[in-house]
Amino acid sequence: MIETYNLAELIVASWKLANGNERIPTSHGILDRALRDLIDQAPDIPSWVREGLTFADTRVGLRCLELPEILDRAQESFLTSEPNPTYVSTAVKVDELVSRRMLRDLGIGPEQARTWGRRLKAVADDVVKKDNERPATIEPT
Amino acid sequence: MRREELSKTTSDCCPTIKLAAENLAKKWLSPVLQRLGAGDARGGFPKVFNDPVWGSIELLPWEVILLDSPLVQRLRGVRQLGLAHLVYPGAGYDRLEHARGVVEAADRMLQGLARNAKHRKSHGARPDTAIPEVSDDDYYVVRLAALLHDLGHGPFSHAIEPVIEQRFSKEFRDLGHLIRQFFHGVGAISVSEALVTLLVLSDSMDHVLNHPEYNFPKSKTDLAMRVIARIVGARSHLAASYLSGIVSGPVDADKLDYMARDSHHAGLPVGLDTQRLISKLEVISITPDNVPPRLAELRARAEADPRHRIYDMGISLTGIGAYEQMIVGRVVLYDRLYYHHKVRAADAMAQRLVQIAEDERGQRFTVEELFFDASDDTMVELLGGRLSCPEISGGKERARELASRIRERRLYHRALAFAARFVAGMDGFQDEETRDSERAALWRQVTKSLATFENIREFEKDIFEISREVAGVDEQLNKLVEKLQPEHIIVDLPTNKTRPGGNLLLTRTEDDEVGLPNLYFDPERWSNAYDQQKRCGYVFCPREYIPLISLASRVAIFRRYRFGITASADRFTKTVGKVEPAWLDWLAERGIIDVECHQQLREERVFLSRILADDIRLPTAWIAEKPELRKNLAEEIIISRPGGFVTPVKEEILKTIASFANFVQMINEGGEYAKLGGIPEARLQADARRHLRTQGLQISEGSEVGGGETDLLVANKIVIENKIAGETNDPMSENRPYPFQARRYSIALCKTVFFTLVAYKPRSETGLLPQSSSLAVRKVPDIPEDCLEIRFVVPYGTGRPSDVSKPVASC
Repeated sequence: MIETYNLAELIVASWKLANGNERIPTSHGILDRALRDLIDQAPDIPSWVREGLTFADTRVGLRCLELPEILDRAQESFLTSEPNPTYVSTAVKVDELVSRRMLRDLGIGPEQARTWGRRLKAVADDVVKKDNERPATIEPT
Repeated sequence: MRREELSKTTSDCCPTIKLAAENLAKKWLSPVLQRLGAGDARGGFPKVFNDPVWGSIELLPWEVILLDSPLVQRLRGVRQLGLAHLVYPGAGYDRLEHARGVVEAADRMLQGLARNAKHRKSHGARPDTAIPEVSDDDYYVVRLAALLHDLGHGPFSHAIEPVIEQRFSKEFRDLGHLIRQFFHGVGAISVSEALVTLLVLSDSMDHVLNHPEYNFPKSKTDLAMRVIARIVGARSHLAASYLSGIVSGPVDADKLDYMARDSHHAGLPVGLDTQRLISKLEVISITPDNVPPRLAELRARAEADPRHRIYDMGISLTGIGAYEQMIVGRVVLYDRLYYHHKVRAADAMAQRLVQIAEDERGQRFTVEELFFDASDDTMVELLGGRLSCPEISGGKERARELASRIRERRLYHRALAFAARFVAGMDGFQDEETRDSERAALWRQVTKSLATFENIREFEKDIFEISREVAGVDEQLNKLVEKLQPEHIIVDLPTNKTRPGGNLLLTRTEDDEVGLPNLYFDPERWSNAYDQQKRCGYVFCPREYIPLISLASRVAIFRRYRFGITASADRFTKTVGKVEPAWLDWLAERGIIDVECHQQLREERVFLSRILADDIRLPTAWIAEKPELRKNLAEEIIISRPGGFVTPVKEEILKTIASFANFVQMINEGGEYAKLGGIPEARLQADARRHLRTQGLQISEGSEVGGGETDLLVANKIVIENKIAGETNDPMSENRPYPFQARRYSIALCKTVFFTLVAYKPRSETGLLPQSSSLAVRKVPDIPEDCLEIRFVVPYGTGRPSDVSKPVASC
């Protein structure tokens, strides 16, 4: 349980330091892919992060199984806003200083976290770009 | 993969829960095996049951054999909604009723999907003749899985689940990984799903399912594995893969039944359009060409399939409204039913009953004991020790008292609500971003630290201890506290479980493009519901203790997390006026609460604010030497001390920083300490006291207010410690104990910010710090609270005045 809160703090703080006021994508497997990439590509990711995330090919493709709970914990801790109506993204509610405080509590340096946050965003942007060419969501009639 | 292989592996990865499941299955299924062995199960006929939700439900003979076993009949005593019937009198139905309902819901979904598959083969813009039909084999397995899907629920349903989960968290986690290895497409596994997996996997169940007299009409090959696959929502072990989510999926028979049934029995209409929803379920054909890039894994699976197409259950675009209705209905049920404060109080009391019984009998309950086949009501009496039986021994007096409270519906009341929105003082922050950020900085400590039962128990213990400290405020409370027991205090902060999961279901366009439905919700409704219910913690206690526990809880929260609770929390819990303001004055006068606690709990409106760079006044020479100095100091204070400060404390801190900086600057310039080989602490203190007084600070000696011998106090709020570090080149890292922390003053001091003045003798010439390095802010090590030290250092014995050449401008 506490691990889930730590993961929420790590993701939100890294995102904030790297991407300022940009909203975090929260749905449709975008952040799932970004996290998968981070785990695969960032060698300096702590083992508790690696062990705390499980990925599976679900009925709607790749999903991080812990991510829904992580995002819930982030909301409950007031680190992020409620998702927007379509559950596409959420706003970060902590500023840089509180982000740095959370990272310090987790024993992670801000520069390291900033790198991870940039990587998360880059992958998320890439997914969204492809999405714009061929959307994954369908409007209800 | 075969059952034997999975069974063996589970024995290795989760030995405790596996053994418990084997034992329970053996006990519950031995009568079935006897019946089968005696030939008593031969010639069975389908049975039809009346049902308030579905009208009538038919169970098939091989289902009835299991239905009529202790394995399934045990669910008759397990209430679906835990103790919700104590609040909603009609909501007392059991899991057996629900299990039968899920069979019917699954059957209707099976028929709906079979009908859709048939239509899709011959109608529409692009008929798909390759869609597999629903085979009898799959049909019967889905129904059987529906009947058995809830076997993993223990007494009081979800109330006890977290207890079991936290005790065996590693085993459950490992079992989840294992299940995902054996079954494709499985997501997160709940505790009850994990336990039912082990029950179905058991040797006893294998003996039943493969017994020659067990009349399952189709293939029995790997029957247990196929049933498990359906229960955990796997896409493997199926001919028609679009049936994979019927028992466990985003729209599944479980939700369709429990939502309709909960709503019906509780008398809470949620407007669930079950028939429409089922009729709008669709078979989705997935090919390499009709999925967007974001669903790359689906494309890869379609490509890997020999027919280059796979199938899943989805929803028609015209059914999304009904789907949204279901999600919104679920949120409503959570708000009004599952998270009703009285339901939470009752569930929390049941959880506590388990713990007290364990304390009193001196031993934890095993999984077998917790899954003892008794009804919830009997379980209350067993745990409470009022009833006993050879298989399970309960608690004694304390457990009995709590059990009788549950039985007689003398439920605990709310003494305090705590939530992010009830954090006091937030209006003081100048902008919304800072406000939100500081709120999060404070609130995250709460959510994180109360994430485990052990931590919650610790917090309850804190409140209990504090109750004894504060009871002296009132004669009546003083009498009452003598009867107070630890179990009279229950802290409850549930996590949100209303995750909508709106993006887990596929849909398709008329021309067969596959995607995810774009759902719309009323965000205000959602967020209100969220704020009102999900993020709210309660401290419960018996009614007579409300004033005492309300007061003690506030103090406990402040001591732990450094925030007060707004008056709106009292209105929310109907406890306005339970804590008298004069009580807080009494506590402050005796130093039981500190100055910040007094301010924040006493004032109707509190304003917190951050210390910003511009607020900090330092000598211009220091700033010239290090332009970032004030910014760095302000940031360090903000990072180290969440929530900012109440105005009077903030003002004293800022005045003290300015005066101390001036003092250090003056000593350095004047060279008064330069020639000293050593300096007595008394002299350092006397010099500092004299100087700070000349700067207009109200300075008193600690001994004057019944506390320390050598400390100075600023405005009777903030402590100044003096230290002689001796020879060192690194006086900022000098760590000594902070004795004032252990002292009890008879006034309300600030407990989380203090100043130290450290005199040091540089070990070498290079050890003399630049003036701008004479000040640092640091979090105090070895003190669990967010305690902040603002340290000034002043050199002595340098042989000459420091290198400051210019006079110091007044700061």
